[in-house]
Amino acid sequence: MPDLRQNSIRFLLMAILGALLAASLPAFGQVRVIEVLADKDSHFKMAGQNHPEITVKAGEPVLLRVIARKGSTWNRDGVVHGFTLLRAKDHSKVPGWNLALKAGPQEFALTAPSEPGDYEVLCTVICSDDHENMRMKFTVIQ
Amino acid sequence: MNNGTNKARAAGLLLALTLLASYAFGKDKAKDTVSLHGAIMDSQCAYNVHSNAHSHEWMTKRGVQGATDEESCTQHCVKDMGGSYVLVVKKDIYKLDDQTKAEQFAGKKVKINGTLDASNHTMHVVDMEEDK
Repeated sequence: MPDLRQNSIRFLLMAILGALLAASLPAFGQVRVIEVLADKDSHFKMAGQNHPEITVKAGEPVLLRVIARKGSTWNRDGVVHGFTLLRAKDHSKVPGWNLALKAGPQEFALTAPSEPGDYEVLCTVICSDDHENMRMKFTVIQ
Repeated sequence: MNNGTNKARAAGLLLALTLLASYAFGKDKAKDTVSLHGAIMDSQCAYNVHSNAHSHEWMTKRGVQGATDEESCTQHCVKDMGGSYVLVVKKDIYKLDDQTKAEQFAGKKVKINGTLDASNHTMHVVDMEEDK
């Protein structure tokens, strides 16, 4: 009888531990995918959005899938657009979010900033006459 | 007896530390310090194909707000547009590990002493001064 009780407690503890682990880790294949087109007309585009905007949870792991199309000018090393995340309040760069895009599809496994607030994605390659407007709103929520 | 053993251990430790320090120092010295003369520019104008002469002309001619000369264009591209300060020496471009120091010389000709990391074309800045 005491054995049965001990086993039940063990089982309960294992179940709690398992549930905690499952909650703290994103399940395989469930990382959020964000798809962006960095287009040749110097605009970031996202399906179904007239004014593309990315909203993520603080610290959320994301998979950024970008297709880049070469504009009228590009960098000597073949980089056609940039995808750089800046804090809106002071324009400081977010570490890990300074991406150089080559023409074609590419993926980046990233972690959202830990600090909620307003951010901005900017292109860091002079890609056309409209380069200065190649930007997109990025919001981090709690 | 114990006293003698302790002294021998201390001497051994001291010797090991001395060897380690001289190795580390020697390793640093092995990297050649170089002096480069060039201009501090923003990465956008420096790397872009629009500017064969690595100039800010394309930006300033188009009347981009906040980019009226070499200094303002460099500052605009770095501070407002997410770029970084780089050193341009003729046709070569070097990334700079000390962005704070580079900011003081935005758009200016400089002489930089430092070590070069060929693997990523980065200059580790020791000191920087205006090259008049």
